[in-house]
Amino acid sequence: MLVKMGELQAEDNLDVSSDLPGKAGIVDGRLIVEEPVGNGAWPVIIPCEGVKVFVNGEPVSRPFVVETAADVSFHVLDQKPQSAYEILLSPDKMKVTLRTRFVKGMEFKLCDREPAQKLKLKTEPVRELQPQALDFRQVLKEIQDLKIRTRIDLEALASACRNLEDVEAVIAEGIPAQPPVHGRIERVWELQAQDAEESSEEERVDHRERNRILSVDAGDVLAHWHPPIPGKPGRNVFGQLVQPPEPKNAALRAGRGVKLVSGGTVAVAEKAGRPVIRGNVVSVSPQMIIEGNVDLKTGNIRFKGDVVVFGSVCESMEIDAGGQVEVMGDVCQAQITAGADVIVKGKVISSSISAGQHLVGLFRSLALVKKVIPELYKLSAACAQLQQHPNFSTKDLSDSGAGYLIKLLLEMRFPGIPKSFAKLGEILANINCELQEEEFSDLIARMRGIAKCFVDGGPLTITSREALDAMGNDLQHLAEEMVKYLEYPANITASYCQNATLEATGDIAITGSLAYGSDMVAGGSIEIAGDCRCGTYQAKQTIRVGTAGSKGIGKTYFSVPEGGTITAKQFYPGVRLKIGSDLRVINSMWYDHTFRELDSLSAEAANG
Amino acid sequence: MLSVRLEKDVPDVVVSLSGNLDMMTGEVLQETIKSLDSAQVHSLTFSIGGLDFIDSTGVGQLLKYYKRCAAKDICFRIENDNPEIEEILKIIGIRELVES
Repeated sequence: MLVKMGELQAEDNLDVSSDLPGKAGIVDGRLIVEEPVGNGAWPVIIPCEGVKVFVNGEPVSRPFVVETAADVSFHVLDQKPQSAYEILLSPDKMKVTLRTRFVKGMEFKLCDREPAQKLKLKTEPVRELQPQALDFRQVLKEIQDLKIRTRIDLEALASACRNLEDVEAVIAEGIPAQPPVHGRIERVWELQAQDAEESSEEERVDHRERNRILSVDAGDVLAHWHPPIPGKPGRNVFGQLVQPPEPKNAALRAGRGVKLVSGGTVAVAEKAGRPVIRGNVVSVSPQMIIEGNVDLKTGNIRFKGDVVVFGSVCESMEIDAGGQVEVMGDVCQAQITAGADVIVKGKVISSSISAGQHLVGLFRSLALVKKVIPELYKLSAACAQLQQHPNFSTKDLSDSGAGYLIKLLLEMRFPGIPKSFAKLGEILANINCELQEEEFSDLIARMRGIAKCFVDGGPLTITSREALDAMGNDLQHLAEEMVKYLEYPANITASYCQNATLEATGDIAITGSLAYGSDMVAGGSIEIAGDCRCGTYQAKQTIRVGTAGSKGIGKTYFSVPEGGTITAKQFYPGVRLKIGSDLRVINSMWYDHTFRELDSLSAEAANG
Repeated sequence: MLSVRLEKDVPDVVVSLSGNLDMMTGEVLQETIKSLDSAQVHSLTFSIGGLDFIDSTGVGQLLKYYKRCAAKDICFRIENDNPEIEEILKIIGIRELVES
């Protein structure tokens, strides 16, 4: 500001050096104020957090000019100690817990400050304030108000209330249900096979003693069933009964070729064959033994059970078996299709082998069934909603059934259901049950029956919502059965493989020196002990080979989905790897490496 | 009992329904629709706010007309200010096909 000299009065003091600012300070927690001299600035107090400031009894939160100390009063705020608790009931109502929280407080005072024109208030801690113990009676009353029937641990409660520590103390507990002992199936034949292996010194071709071809004779004990022991119910903290889970393996079931004796606790073979256990069903797969080669003399083999060939499978011959196929010799320019494992002790040359092809269809069916079951329940719920609607007339339903209503709902609101069932019907139609076990054929037939009810005019045959629910439940049960079948994927094992096509729902293993120019697709893993040159090798899990590729010009291609791995002792340049959607070609030698992702090859390409 | 009233004639037909549309009364509606010269129909609107009850046959009948209209490229609508009946249409899923 510009001050004109002429504007000043004669008595105005122009000696600025005599102006002194006023000051405010804190001494022993009390405010002192010095007034300014002349035109000196008046003292200003700047409040801070934790202190309530009053000027003439009015609260002030912003900086203010102070005239006299008597106008101003302070109230220093302390941090109060806290004692808090929560009573927690576990979701299963089996436990009541007391959660305590104690927080210490702090007493503060105003800091002494040298007098200054601008006094910024500040506080400092003086001492800790201890939290109080919880009121035992009050906490106990709250717990009792929950109407808990089990014993309240008063000692634990008192300790938690008293100890001023953060704890989660269990105050009351229910009596847990005693879990059941699940039923157990003891496989006797496996023990016998082990015994036979240990004791036999020379090879004998006898059904009982050939442990390499696991088989049993009529009358042999296959399995003992140790029945489940049900659990005992418990009680929750409110005294309500808590049921234990149902025990598994509630019964032993006899499949094909098996009879249950001793009150259903012992499974005995009714005929010779290979024992098979799937879930709680024990069966005997019949065996066809070919003592020599499969050739023009024997003709093609089509058999519902297992096929064992002591010789080789010769040119242009076919084996189609519902069960396992075991070939002691080679398979040359031939074809083997099996419902279970295929084991070739010799070489597979220019041949095609498929293991568990029917399971592929079953796997695809299961995916559809799992998708459609919740939709069926929604359809049923929509039916119920309509049937209970006050403005929806149901007389036509009682006359001619719920089929027409279900068809309408399928057409308009749930079009995905008939589509899924149509697709399911197509897949099921392509599953060849001719050589499969009766249980499997029955499973497929039941699914086909349900699928039919939801395509074209099928829904009109559904008589009621209850029938619809029954189909949903049936489908759920069938899905569980399907899972049991899929727990036993079919594997292929051979010692050598050349220009062959191998497809297995499980693993493929080549145990000898070479797999050459072959196409392999495995639902599990591929393991090739020796060299793997040319061809395509696809696995759902892992691929492990000795040497991948060669110096030659043939292309070797390995593929696994994301999360899968490809391992080899040596990778030759030119080998193609695909992990997930990432496809790369190896440019240099790699040794003892497992590819989990192909970024390392990007680095190789960049360096190269 | 179903009351069917032809509110507007061809080309933009509006048919008003009241009472019960069910398996017993559907024929009345059928006669009205039959009497229309379909070649001259540009749009067909059912006004169903006056319905007290409907059953699956009634809904099916409406759906049948919708399909026929769709096949001939005729605009099809169901107008309704009755929330109870609207709820039924929604549960069945007809509202996913037919606009109001």
